[in-house]
Amino acid sequence: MAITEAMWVHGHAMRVEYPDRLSSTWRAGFYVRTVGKPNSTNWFHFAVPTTVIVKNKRQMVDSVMLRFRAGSNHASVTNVHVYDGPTRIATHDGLDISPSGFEFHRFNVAGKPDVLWGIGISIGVKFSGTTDAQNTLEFSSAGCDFNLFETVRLHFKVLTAPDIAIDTMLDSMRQVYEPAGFRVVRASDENLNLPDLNVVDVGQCRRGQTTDEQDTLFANRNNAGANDVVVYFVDATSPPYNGCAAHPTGQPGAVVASGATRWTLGHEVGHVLGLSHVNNNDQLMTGNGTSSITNPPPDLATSEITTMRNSNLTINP
Amino acid sequence: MAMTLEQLRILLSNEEPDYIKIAASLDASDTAHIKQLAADQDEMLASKAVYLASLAVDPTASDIVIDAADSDRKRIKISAASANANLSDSKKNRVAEKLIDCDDVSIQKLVVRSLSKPSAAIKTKLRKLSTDSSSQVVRNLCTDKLKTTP
Ligand SMILES: [Zn+2]
Repeated sequence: MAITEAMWVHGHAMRVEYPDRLSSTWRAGFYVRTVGKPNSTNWFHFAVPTTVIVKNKRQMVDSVMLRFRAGSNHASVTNVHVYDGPTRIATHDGLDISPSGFEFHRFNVAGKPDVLWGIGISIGVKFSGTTDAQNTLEFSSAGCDFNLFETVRLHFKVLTAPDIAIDTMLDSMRQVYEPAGFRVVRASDENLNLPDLNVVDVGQCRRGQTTDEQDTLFANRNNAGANDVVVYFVDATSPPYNGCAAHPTGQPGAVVASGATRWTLGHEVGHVLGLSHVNNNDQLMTGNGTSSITNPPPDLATSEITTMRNSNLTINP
Repeated sequence: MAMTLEQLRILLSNEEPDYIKIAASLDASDTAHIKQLAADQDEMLASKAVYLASLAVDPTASDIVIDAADSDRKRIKISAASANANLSDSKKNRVAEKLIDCDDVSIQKLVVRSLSKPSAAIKTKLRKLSTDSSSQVVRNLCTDKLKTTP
């Protein structure tokens, strides 16, 4: 995936949220040097100049980057939050990064959202040393990469919440789809109170063949455009499958059973986009069950990516 | 042809197992493995094994389905109800007797649909459900089943 736009800002543009918690700030040509007071936390903010539209195409946020070093492991970056205007679009918490020399660190923005208002990077920091030398952080640069992905739009209709959270399934799916150039947009969520279809008869789950119950269930397409994929989270299928991607013509979608794995969502949508099983447990479309996947996240083969790109359900940027 | 437990586990771990194809390759020597997988901690795998048992040619494999109807795991019960459609008439009634009173519309739906020659006792239950069930689908299924079965 070629980066379509990259924007950087120099370290000395950084703004400190709580200046009184610092013993000193020194802006120089090379970087900004901050010395935190002992046992303090703080937030440092970088506003990244953002070209939201390039050659008539609205850009998608790929990831943000920092280049910094720490005086000791008592000074560290603990959080990286990414904002587009007022909206937080990525959250990396629980970090503890304190490189002794200048290092480049990249932080993914899952979901690759359209950029609308301008990127802000907010960095949580912690100072736990006793001397100024220990409590020193120096930032030389902050930046953001932009990209253009083919888009799959998903609508989630929940009859029964699955054992593995939908957030986890979606995150897992993105780990497979995004490196292959596809972003997965969660376009809407809706709960469906349809107890009669909570165990849905899917017959032999063959592409192009549907039961009356599938036809009834898949008619629920609130908010979904013709090329959007609707995923129905059900208690179970009859017979038992992890999921089933057979759908009525013109109503692209799949069911996912409550006992599905974290990879089942991506697997079923893969079927909807035209993929078939392969005999390889390194791949998302393994026919040996995604519970058998050996190298998470699993891969998509080049030929599969071509099939997906050719699907009219993946929208060109 | 007998399969190893691992071979059977892999076939059933498929997101969408091809039950008919798997069943066609089974013989009586595989039943013990199906039974073992039907008790697996992984409920998804266990429920698939229960369904496969209903299609196995070995007549003793259907006992796996009958036992599954007593499971305290809901997914296993659902699978037994789903699998019931593949059992012989007498065995269908045994599974139905265990499941028809459960307080779950989806299980009742599958059980009622699976029946071909309901026993007198089951017919009594069907009559009651045809008026008392909270689900229109179950009420209609019961009414239809009483009309169309001997
Ligand atoms: Zn599949």
